[in-house]
Amino acid sequence: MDSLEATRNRLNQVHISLRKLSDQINYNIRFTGKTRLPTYGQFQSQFHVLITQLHSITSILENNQDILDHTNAYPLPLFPTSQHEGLATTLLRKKPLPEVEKWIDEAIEHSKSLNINSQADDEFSQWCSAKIQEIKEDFQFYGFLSTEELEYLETEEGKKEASAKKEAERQREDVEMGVTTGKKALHPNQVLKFMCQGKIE
Amino acid sequence: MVHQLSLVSTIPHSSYVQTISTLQALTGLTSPQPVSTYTLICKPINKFKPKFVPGKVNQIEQYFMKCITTWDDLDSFDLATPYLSDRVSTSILFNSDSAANTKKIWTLQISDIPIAGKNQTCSAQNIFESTLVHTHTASRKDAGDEKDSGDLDKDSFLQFLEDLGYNSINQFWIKGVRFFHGDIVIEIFKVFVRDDANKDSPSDSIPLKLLDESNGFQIKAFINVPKSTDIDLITQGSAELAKLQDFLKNLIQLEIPDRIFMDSRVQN
Repeated sequence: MDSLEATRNRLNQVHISLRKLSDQINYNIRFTGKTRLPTYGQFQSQFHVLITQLHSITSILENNQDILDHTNAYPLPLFPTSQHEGLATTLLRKKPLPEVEKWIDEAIEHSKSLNINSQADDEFSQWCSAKIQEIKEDFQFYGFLSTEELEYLETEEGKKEASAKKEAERQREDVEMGVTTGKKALHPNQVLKFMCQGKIE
Repeated sequence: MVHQLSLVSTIPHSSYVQTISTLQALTGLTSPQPVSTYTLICKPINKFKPKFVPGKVNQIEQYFMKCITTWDDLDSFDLATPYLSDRVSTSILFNSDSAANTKKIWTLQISDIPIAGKNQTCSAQNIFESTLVHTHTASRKDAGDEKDSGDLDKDSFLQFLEDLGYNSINQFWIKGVRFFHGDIVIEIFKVFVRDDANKDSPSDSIPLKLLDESNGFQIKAFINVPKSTDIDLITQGSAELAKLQDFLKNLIQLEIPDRIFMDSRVQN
């Protein structure tokens, strides 16, 4: 959003200076009666200003390339703006419609009547987080299992489950081994050498 | 001539699906372009050794040449399934009746050794290519002689290469997919070579085996720049490749290939 706004400002500046230049030229032609152009110096300074402005636009565009690349401008140039002007203005309207504004006002009124104390809410949430910190200090964390889970692992069933897991792991490794046939992958360099010279070492 | 900026990598077979999905998400290409090419590597038949004159740099070199054409595999297979046994075979391209009188588009390619230099972000290499259309003709020898029956003349393309002074020394097949990300082309492929140990395949097909027996995929990310003198495009291209390298660094370790391995000059 910032980058778009910055670009817009710069473009506006260019527009203004271009208009100034054209005014200068037109003024001289229209009112002096003679077709005399502004002096070389005036042109020079105007162009200099223009070039600086264009330069700053390009630098802004370049700096924000990532964002602008992924930004879509609506309506698209293909949109028949002149035929569906009403639709376009409705869609692009930034301010809420009058009826929507009414709803918002109503909601605000309604919330006032409910008499909610937001400060009390904040205080409560603060108290909660402080309490959690306090409780956390009473515990000690080692590993990822709770005491009950560790005890379960000691029982017969738990042992069975653990060995089943190990078995599954081993099977997965076997499959992997079958796919790779236990060999290390060829380095890209080796493959490139083969592709260039037809032999491999 | 193109100037190619490239980075390479390899992934184990098990991370193929993950890589493909990631690249699909990154590039927005839900169905990547399939790639299947057949390449003949050729070497000059006669050695050319200019007289060595002291103080004069010898600029005359002989190069390996690659002849590339497309490979239409008869029994197409899914790359996502690991290639475990001798499941893959291809039809014989040369010297078969079906290959006779067919037009094929061949690309002849000679590549320079990549540019040397310190602090490179990617490998940069000049590649010279010429594409031609060749009508294959392979005529059967007179079947009068019992011994020679079934023996075939040399395929016209191989004959053409021989006339040119080149002899094919090896061949490989590539099967993979291709993604496009901006100007970057990302290719993921497996390289197959002829499996001579496998004798029990039907006579009209060539059994293939993987060059890389660990079943890994090769990855190549490259940008082609039309001219090697276009510094702006080259800097921009290398920056884009570096960006991609950084973006994918947790998935694929894209790295600069060693230029010595990409030297396609004939060592006399």
